[in-house]
Amino acid sequence: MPLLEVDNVTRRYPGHLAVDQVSFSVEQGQLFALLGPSGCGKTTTLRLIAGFEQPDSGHIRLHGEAITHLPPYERRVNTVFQNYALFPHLTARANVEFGLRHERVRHVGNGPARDAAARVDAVLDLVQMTGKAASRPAQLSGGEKQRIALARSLVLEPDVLLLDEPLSALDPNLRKQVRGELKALQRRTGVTFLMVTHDQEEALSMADCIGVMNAGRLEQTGPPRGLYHRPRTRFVAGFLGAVNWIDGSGVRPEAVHVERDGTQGRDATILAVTFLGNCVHVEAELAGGARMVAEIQNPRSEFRPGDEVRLWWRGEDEMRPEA
Amino acid sequence: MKPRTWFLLPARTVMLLLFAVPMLIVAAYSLLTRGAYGGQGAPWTLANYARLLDPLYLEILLKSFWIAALATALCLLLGFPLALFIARARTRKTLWLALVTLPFWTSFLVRTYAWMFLLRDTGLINTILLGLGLISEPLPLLYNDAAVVLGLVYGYLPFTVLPIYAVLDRIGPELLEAAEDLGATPAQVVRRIVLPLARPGLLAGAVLVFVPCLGAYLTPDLMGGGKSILIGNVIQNQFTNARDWPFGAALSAVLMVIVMGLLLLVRRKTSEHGGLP
Ligand SMILES: Nc1ncnc2c1ncn2[C@@H]1O[C@H](COP(=O)(O)OP(=O)(O)OP(=O)(O)O)[C@@H](O)[C@H]1O
Ligand SMILES: [Mg+2]
Repeated sequence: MPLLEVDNVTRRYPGHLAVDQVSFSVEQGQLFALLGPSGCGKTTTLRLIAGFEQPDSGHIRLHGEAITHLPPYERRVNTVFQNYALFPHLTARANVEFGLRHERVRHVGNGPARDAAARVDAVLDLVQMTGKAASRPAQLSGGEKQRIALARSLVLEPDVLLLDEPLSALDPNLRKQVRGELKALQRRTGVTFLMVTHDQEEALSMADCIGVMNAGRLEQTGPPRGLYHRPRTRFVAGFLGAVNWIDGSGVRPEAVHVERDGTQGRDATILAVTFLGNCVHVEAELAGGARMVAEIQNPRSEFRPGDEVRLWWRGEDEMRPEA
Repeated sequence: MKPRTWFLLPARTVMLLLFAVPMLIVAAYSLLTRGAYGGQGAPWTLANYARLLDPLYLEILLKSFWIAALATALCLLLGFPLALFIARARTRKTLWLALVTLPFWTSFLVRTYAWMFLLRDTGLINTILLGLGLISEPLPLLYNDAAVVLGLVYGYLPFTVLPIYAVLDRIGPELLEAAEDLGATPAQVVRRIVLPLARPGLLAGAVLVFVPCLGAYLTPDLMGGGKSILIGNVIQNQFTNARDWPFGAALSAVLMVIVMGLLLLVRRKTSEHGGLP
């Protein structure tokens, strides 16, 4: 049985379908990423699971039990908000302690047996914020705020931790580093993460499973590699990475080979060559007029615009989305 | 002079002319002796202040404090939920705020008379209740302390709603959602998040109601009848019927000192926490 099931859920705003018959499930211990462009309904889906919104139809189940209409404070899920939503009048430590006081209401079994203070200490240590426990949110940096927001949720040992664009408020330089830290934290705690992002690199690098949303609908769900190489729709193919569309099938630029005097493949003329440091982008025009981009890691010879070349790719690298 | 000094000059002049000078005049009057036919003059004396120790005035002063405190508490109790409702309303915020300030469009005197029309023995409420046969005697709704408190609460409620609304409106909805997300019920969210964050607004509202209530004379005069005399009425009386300006000035000066002391206390309470609890 999956830990969390979102079953045919629809949420309508006046004159607008924000979430349209979305179904997916998240397994225990997974990091699931909901990926999609701005306004496609990712946040709304997360809010439905957290309980801030009610679906117009469909069900949400946790451990097989419907939580669709429970208020947020009765759900064993916690949210890390995009802007962290730390309580400004409380210290970092008091922010982390906030939820422990209500814990017995939520689940009787695990009650006050373990010392609350020890749990707060442990989780502050986990996010390496022990030294800043006495600070107010206004005195913390963006990265520090995020760690406190994480600690505040993790201390409650939620069944699912919901994260809305957890990296978007961070300095771009910090993002890659925190990506790894967040993933490591998820592994170490074993808590199931459901993360919303519009950054495909983030989703591909962090998630065990990705759900791609577009205009309120969930287009495809699957592991990163499967989604990248076998997208079911053109939208999914294009959203996860660059694609050359040719005769109804797609080829990723890195799958396209460029040769000066090969015998196989199609004739093409190079239009432009862009040096990107770790690779080179070669844009070429095929005989029929179609254009393709090839991404070459270690170019053997130097290509120049106007060069006559041959482009080829393996049959198995061709993607044939149904829609 | 520096530009800063120039820019502050108008404000300083106004403060000096409209606040400091009148206060000094009051202080000076309070030290004069009352003339035989009204008026005042030499010699300088502290006798006006000595008269204040009369239990009669202390009692009235205490009662004024009590009534003002009660009115303030009721204003906060009513104003907070109202402000919370307006701040959390998704639509029509401006309409609700306009309705809160609507009473200011007519004179306070007219509105007080309207209340009297409702409450007096032959007023609307008693007439209806008598007509329905629910009561056989008119209820004593007017000319008592309760009527005075009602009038004060009615008159000053907007002064609590507006500052509380101002702070509540700044609390992002995600803070409330975060609290609920962490297991707090709506009542606990109000107690642990909303109230602490609203404290500066609550204090401002309390001051804005308490201070004028303490000096109120119109409402107790009209709605309290002769029975509910507050310090404001005593002061007013010294300047009118009693023609004892020095004593009225002494009463005013004492009231002013007490109010300023309270304001300083509140200010220290707010700045102690950097504006936050
Ligand atoms: N309270 C609301 N009332 C009306 N429409 C809303 C409301 N909340 C969201 N929407 C609409 O629903 C759609 C989905 O919004 P949502 O916030 O879920 O998008 P998102 O995928 O999280 O986008 P982003 O990446 O920009 O955060 C948007 O078109 C938005 O305008
Ligand atoms: Mg969003």
